[in-house]
Amino acid sequence: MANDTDILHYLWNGKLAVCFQLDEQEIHGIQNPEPFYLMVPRMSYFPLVCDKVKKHFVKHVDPEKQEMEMWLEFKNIPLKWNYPIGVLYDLFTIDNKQVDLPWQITVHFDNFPEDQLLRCSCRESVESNFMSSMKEADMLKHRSQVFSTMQRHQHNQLWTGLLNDKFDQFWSENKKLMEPSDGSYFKHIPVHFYRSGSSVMTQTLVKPVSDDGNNITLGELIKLNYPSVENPKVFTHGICIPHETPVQWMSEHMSYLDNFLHLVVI
Amino acid sequence: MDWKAVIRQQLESRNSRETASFQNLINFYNKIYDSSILLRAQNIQLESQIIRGNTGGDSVYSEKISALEQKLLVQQEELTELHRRRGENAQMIIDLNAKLQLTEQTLTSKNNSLIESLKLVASLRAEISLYQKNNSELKQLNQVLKDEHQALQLAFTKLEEKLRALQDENRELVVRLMTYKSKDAEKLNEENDHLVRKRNAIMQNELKEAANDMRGVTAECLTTAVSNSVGPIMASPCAMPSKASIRFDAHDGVVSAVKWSPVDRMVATGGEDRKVKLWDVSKGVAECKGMLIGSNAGVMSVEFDSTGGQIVAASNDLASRVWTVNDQRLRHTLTGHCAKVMAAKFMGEPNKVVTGSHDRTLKIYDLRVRACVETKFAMSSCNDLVTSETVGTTIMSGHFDKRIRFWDTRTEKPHTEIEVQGRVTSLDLSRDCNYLLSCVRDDTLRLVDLRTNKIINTFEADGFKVGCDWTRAVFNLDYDHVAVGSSEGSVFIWAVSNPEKPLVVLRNEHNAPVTAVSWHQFTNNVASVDRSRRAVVWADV
Repeated sequence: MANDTDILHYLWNGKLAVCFQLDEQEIHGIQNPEPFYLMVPRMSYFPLVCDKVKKHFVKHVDPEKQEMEMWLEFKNIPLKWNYPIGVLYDLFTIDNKQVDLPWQITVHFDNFPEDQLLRCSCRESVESNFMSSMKEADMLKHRSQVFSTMQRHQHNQLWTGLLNDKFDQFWSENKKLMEPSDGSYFKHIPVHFYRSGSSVMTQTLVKPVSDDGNNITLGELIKLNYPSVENPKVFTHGICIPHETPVQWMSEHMSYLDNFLHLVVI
Repeated sequence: MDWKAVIRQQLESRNSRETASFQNLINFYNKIYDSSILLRAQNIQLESQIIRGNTGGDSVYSEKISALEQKLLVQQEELTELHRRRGENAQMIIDLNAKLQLTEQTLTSKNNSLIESLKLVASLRAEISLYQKNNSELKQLNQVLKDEHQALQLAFTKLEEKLRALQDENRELVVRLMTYKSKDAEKLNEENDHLVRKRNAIMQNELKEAANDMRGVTAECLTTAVSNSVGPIMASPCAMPSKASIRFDAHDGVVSAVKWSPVDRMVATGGEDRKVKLWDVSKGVAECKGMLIGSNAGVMSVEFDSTGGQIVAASNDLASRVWTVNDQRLRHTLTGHCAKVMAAKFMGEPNKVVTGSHDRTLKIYDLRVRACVETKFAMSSCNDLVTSETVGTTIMSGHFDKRIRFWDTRTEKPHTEIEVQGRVTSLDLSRDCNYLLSCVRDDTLRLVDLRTNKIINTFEADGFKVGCDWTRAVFNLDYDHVAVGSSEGSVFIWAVSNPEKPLVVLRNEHNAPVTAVSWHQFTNNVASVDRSRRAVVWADV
C-alpha cells in the first residue's frame, strides 16, 4: 500500500537538467547549433521528451541524414531508450559521485549503433515496451491477476498519465497494482539489478518475505545477490538507500513507473 | 522508521539539488527559445509581406500587375530584337546587291577581254600564215637570185678573162702606137730644131745689136705627147707675135675688155652689148664657148681669178658680177656704186673683189657675205686698179686726176700717191710685183718701180695715141715686153729694155681704136679687141 504519498510526490517530481548537444562531426553548415537545455523527468523515457530536441537539431544536420533516427550517447556509450531516464543517469554514478548536472548528452543522427541499440521508430514502441514491463511486474507480484483484469481504457490512462505528467491520473490506476493481492506481500518483487558502469541488467526471483515471516531488508538482498561486493551501496532514483529498508515497502514506493525496482549496486 | 526518514530526507535534498536549481532556468530558457522561433517565423512572414508591398487584400492585383508588366517587358524586348534583326537583314541585302553588281561588271569586262583576245588570236594567226607565205616566197626568190648570181659570177669570170686578154692586147697596141708617135715627134722635133736654129740665128743677129741685160729666157716647151690642145699655135720662146692668126667678131658693138684665161686656151671678151663671151681659140678658129649674161649695161672690164674658174666683170650698170666659168652661172652681183664701175679685180684667194668706179670710190666686197665690206674714198674717178699681195701695198688705183694711189686694205687713205702727166687709163702689175705699168692719156706708158715709187721708164712712139679713157696696157708673162692698143687700130709692143722704139707694131687688122689687149700666159700670143666689135689673136707664125 502506497501510503507515503509525499515520497511518491517527491519521486514523481524528480527532474534532471539535460544539455543536449549535436555531435560536432554531424554539424552541417556554417552555423553551430546551440545546445538545448531541457528538464526531463526521471521517471520518463527519452523518446517521449526528445521531440523538441529533434526539431531543434535536425536543421543543422546534413539534409540527407535528417530522416535517420536520433540516438543519444553519453561518454561514447549509447543510451538505451527502453530504460527510464533516471536509471540511465544513475548507471553513470561512480563511487558515490553522480554525474555533474546538467547532464551533457550528445545527439547523433548518423551511424546508428545497430549492435548496441534497438531502433525506436515511434512512440507506440515505447508504449508497448512500457506495457510489457508492467505486465511482467504484475505477473511477478500478483501472477497477473490485476493487470489482466484492468480494462483497456485504464491501461491508456496509465500511459497518458505518464505522457502528460499527470500524477493523479497515473496513480489512480497504479494504486491497484501496488496492492498486494493476498496478504501484505507481493508474491515476488520485480527488481532489476545493475552494476554501476555497465548496463547489464540482472534479474532474480526475489521474495519479499523470508521464510520465517520477516521482511527482507535491502541489505540482505544485496548480500544475497552480490556477495563479492564489500560495502555495497544501493542507488536508486539518485539516492542511497539505507540497508534497513524493507524490500516490500521499497517495491511499493520506490518502483519506477513500470513497477520495477531499478537498483544500481556500487 | 529511520530508514523512511532517511529516504525522505535524501529525496528532499535530491530534489532541491537536482530539480530546483535548474528548473526555473531551463523553463525560462525553453520559453525564450519557443518565443524566438515564433518571432523568427513572424519576421519572415512580415518581410515577405513587405516585399509584396501591401497587405494581403491587394496582393492579387499586384501579382496580376507585376505579371502583366513582365509580359510587356518581354514583348518589348522581342520587338526591339526583331527590329534590329530586320535592319541587319536589310544591310545584308544591300551589301549582297553591291557585290552582285560588281561581279556582273567583272564578268562583262572579262567577256569583252576574252572576245578581244580571240580576235587578236585570229588576226595573229592570219598574220602568221601571211608571214609564212612571204617567207617561203622570199626563200624561193633568194634561191633564184643565188642561182642567177652564180650564173653571173661564171659570166663575170669569163668576161674578166676576156678583158684581161684585151687589156694585154691594148697595152701592146698602145706601146706600138707610142713608139710610132715618138718616132713622129722625133721627126717633128728635128724639123723644129731646124727652124729654131734658123730663127735663133736671126735673133742672135738682132740681139747682138742691143747690149742690155736681158734675162735669160726660159724655154717653155708645150710639147706633150698625148694632148688635145696641140694646135696650130705652138710654143716658141721669145717669139713676138707678128701675124694675126684668128679674127672674129666678138660682140655687137664696142668690145671694151679682153682677157686670156690663165688655165685654158680661152679668151673672155666683154662688150657694150652687155655680155661676156668666152672663146676657145685652141683650134685655130674662135669658138664661142659661152655667154655670161646678167649685166644690164656695157661690160668695162673682165678678169679671171687665179684658178680660171671664176670671172668678175665690171659693168656700167653700177654693179660688178661674178660667174663661174664651167657652168656659166651668175654667182654674185655686187652693187653699191653710184656710177659706172670701171674695174673689178679679185683679191686674195678669190673671196674678195675690189672695184673701182667713176663715183670716186673703191669698194671691197666679200664674196662670202656678198656684201660690200669696205669703201675707200679716192677723191677721183678710178679708171683701173690692180691688186697685189705684197706687204704694204695691196691695191693700186689709177685715177682721172693723174694720180696713182696705193692703198692698204686696212687704211682709209692711200698711203702713197704718184703723180703722172695725164689721166691714168689703165694699170698693170708685173709678175714679180716690182713694176707697175700705167697707160697715161698723154699718149705714153709709164713704168713705175714700186720699190722706189718712182717712174723709171716712159714708153712712147710715133703714131701711138691713146684712144679712150680705158685703154688697157699690159705686161707679158716675163714682163719684158709691154703691149698696148692705139687709136688708129694698131697694137704697139715695146721691149722694156728699149722704151723709145716699139719692138713690134701689129697693124692692118683693126679698123677702129683698140680698146684692150691681153697677153697669153705661156705663149706670146696677144689678143686685142677694138671698138668695132672685132677681136684678133696675134701669134708669131
